[in-house]
Order: sequence, then C-alpha cells, then structure tokens
Amino acid sequence: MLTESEKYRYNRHIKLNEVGEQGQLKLKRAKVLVVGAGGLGCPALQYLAAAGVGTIGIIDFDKIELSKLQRQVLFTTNDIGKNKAQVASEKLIELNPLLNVIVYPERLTTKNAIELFRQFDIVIDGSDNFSTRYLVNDAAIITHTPLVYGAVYKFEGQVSVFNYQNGPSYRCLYPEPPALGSVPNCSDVGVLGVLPGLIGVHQANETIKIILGIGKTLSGQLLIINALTNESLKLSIQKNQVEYDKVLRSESEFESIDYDVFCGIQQIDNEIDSFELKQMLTQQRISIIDVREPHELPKFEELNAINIPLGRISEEEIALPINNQIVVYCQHGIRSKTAIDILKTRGFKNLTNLKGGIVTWN
Amino acid sequence: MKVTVKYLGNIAEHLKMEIEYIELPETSTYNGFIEVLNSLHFGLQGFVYKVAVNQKIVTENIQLKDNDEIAILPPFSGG
Repeated sequence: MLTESEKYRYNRHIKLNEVGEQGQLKLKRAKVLVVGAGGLGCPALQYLAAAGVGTIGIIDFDKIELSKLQRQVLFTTNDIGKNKAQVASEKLIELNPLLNVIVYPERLTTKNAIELFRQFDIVIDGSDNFSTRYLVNDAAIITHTPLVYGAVYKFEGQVSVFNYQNGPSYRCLYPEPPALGSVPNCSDVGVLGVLPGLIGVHQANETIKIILGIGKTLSGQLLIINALTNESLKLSIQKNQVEYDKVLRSESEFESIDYDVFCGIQQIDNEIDSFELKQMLTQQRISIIDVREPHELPKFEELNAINIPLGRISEEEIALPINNQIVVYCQHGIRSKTAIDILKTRGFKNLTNLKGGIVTWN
Repeated sequence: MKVTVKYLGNIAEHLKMEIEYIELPETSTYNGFIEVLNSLHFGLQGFVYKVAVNQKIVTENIQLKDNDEIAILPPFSGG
C-alpha cells in the first residue's frame, strides 16, 4: 500500500494510466543496483530516487574529484575527496527519505559481483572501463539479471537493455574488448558533460519501463545518440547464443577470471609478436593452439595449429606434454590471454601469447 | 553499386570522416565489403567494431544491395 504522503509525492505518476497506484507500488518494491556513481550513474540515480524506486544500491570505490563535477551532477565542490557512493546516497536520501539506499564503497570484483547482483532486480551499468563492463555483463548473465547499459565517447553515447526477456547481451554485440588503448577513456580525450546526462537519463527511463512493464524497451536494440548533430541511430542486435552459453558455462570459474587480463590492462608475462613467432618456428619445436571458433578466418594451414575454441579450453583433452612450448593465438590476442590463464591451471608450463592475434600474421 | 558508410566514435576520428560513399562490385557480400573497406583504410584492421547494414547488426555474410546504409560501430567504455 502507498501512504498518503507517497500518494502526494508521486501524484503525477499516479495520474498516468500507464503507472497509477499499482505501478507506483511496483516502483516501491523494485530493487535496482547502479554500478558506478559517475557521469551516467548520477543522473540515473537521481531519477530513480525521484521516481520512488524503493531499494537502490550504489557501488563505487572512487572518490569525488574537482574534474568530475563537470558531469557528475549529484556532487558539489564541498564533496571533493569523499567516496562517491556514500555522498550519492546522502543526496538521494535528501531528495527522497522514503527510500532504502544501500552503499557499497568498494570495487566491483568477480568475488562480490554474483552475490551482490542476486540481491537486485535490475543492474544499471554506469562504469567507465571495459573490464568492469565485461564483468558486469557476465555476472548479469550468470545471475539472470536484466542489465541497462550505457556508454559514452566524447559526443556520442550508446544505450541498450541486455539480458532481458531472452534478449541479447553485451557480448552478443562485442564478444571481445578492443585492444588496450585503442578506445580512449573520458579522462584521456574528454567528454561533453551533458552527454552522460542524456544517456544516464535514458538508462533510468529504460529501468523504470522494465519495472512497470510498459512501453517498449531497448532490448535487442542499440540506441546511438550524437549530441553534436542530434542524429540518432537505432540498430537491431541479435542474440548470439554461443557467446551467451560460453559465459554461462564459465560460471564455475567466474571468480578466478581476471577481467583486467582479458581486457589487456594487466600484461601477461609471456608475449611475442608475429615476427618473433616466425623466428621461433624456424628455430625450435613449438606447438600452436588456435582458440578461435572454427568458422573464424583467416586460417593459416602452415602453422599446423590445434583448434580448441576458448569455450572448450578448460575441458577438451589436449594431447600435448605439459612442458611443451605452446603458443596460443586468437583473432586479436585477447581471448588467447584468457585461454593461457586456463591452460596454466591445467598444468601447462610454457605458454606464450601471440600479441595482436593472428590478424597480424602474414 | 554504391553503399553509404557511416563511421562512429573513434573510427570516424581515425579516418577523419563521418560518411563515405563506397563503390562496390555488383553482387557484393558483406565479406566482400569488409575486404574493400580494409583495402581503402588499412589502419582499420587494428580496430574492434561491429557493422550494421540498414540498421541491423550483421551476423552473417549477407548479400549487399545498391544504396545500402552501413554503420561502423566501435565499442565505447566511458561513463
């Protein structure tokens, strides 16, 4: 039941046929987790709190800085140096004291993500780096939690709803991250402060529609907005069951996946480029494993690679002595790093990654 | 036949253009288009991106038609 004060506070919602008292109760009972109280998270949080989403979780380990106030509109100059999740929760409670706001002033990791996601109905991704985005996506798949995605670059933003009503996930769009440094971050190249505001508000809107079960969501679609030209594109995305199943199968090893390694942030010790591989091939006996899917091209027959797609690397029988010198490759040198991590746990000792992947081979 | 190619994000920046009209042999497929794209812009091989043809993200080697609208989408991570 809604109290008299709630009925008054949410009066403009209740007047809408599509919301009404029943809808407002759905919002009150909803639990939404926002990953990152940054440029996307701040506006999303404000609208969720104003709308009366009853339980809001905020996870962010980071501190408020002067250079973030240009877009992180929940914070003021006096808040500099304080934890973002903590201050955000205080501002939200000022806005709407009826809410239950839960603060997690810590980093989202493979150790806490699954348990955390299980406590919420919907997760909003307001993170600012690829390794957290893949971690959030995979944890959402494993816990069957709808994920409201947003990301920005300078003047352009993307919004979508993933993992909802059997729709696609982030990995169905981008199965693997770009090479480290090829897509710069806001802190490196700048971002128009209004842009994450636009995208974060879209994320709040998608979340509210999911809770209320009204309208159409962006599940299966990617909305791209250009703040400079006012142009927008809405593209349809198909579910890639193979990518989806790969994540589901990795559930048991999820905690041990290093998403920083996957995204190339943390270098692995042993890497060679294709020139060095060519030299190695003439000088010593090495085994080569191709961890791409069988349909991926180009193939280089002269390498005599054993094809074991990443999804099977933890279980497929590998008829190689554990002391063999093994070079592992994929298309761009990213999946192969994950494969190396898994092969290490299977006892293989001499593992080398082909930097940049097989596309660098010619 | 001619297709319109729209570049997004850091790929538009890298190529210093947002739109390009590319002439393709008749009966070109998606894979054929990617080959032409890579020959025109060698540097693109280092980028991860998705391709949409007429507002649909491409998942297989489809046949292209005259006047198709193609979008090249790199991933974004900012927030």
